[in-house]
Amino acid sequence: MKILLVEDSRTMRNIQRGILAQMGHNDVEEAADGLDALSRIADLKPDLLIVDWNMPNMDGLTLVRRLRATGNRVPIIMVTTEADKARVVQAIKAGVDNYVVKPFTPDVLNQRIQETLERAHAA
Amino acid sequence: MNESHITPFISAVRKIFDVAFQMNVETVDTLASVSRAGPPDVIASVELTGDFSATLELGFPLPTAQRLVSLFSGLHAHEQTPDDVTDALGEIANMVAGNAKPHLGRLDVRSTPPDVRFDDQPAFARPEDGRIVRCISDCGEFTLRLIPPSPRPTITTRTLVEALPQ
Repeated sequence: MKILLVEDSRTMRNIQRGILAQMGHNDVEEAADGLDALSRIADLKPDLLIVDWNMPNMDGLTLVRRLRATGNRVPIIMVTTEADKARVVQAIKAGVDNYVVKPFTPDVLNQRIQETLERAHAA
Repeated sequence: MNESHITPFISAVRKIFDVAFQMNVETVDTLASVSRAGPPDVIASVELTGDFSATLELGFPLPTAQRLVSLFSGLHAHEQTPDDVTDALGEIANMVAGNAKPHLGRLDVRSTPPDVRFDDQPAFARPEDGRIVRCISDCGEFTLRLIPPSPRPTITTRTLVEALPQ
């Protein structure tokens, strides 16, 4: 399974990559912002996107809206510092499948990934 | 902004250090001046706008910053570049702001991307503004500060006239 990490912080990308490796996910690609992700997603064809919200050039919410507007149904998990419920609702309405608030433990990210993939397979 | 608005930021610092670093943070004092905390070497800040305006600043002595970056990124102090420190401390400031925002009341608050700077000069330009909270962790001490927005100067017709060349 291929995962695309979309996150502007190199530190956070490394942390998430490490957690994913512990979970057995080694096919992980990285993008530094929404624009970078959008330009590569057609070639990469990821099975799951893990997307930060606040990023330069194109934020995560805009990326999600752009993808959903083109009919792309790839499962998306938003991993962000935006802990406000109103923001969570906004993200879900935009087409996000699951949501993780930073900081998170490896268990939480693992659980959200499993939930998201199970729902995607059931759909 | 009132005194109680700093409380969610103190709670957010404690939560982030607990979850991300498995570390307790004690906030032992609220300082009246910069001198008691000492000037920080590195400052990570996030500006909050909307229904609540302020600048969150986390000020770190360099050794404390390097220990935190080590824990966060896995890089030893001698391996860390300024970019690594900027990236990691910026993310910490971002998490503090993001986790505090929902507890500021029913307010629509936005935050800017974090800014991290290394200062030779005493970092707090306006020590008389805002509260400085001393935070003590196993990585060392650092400061938390919430700075109210600068008051806009009042420009009257008279001052404009006085400013015009005679």
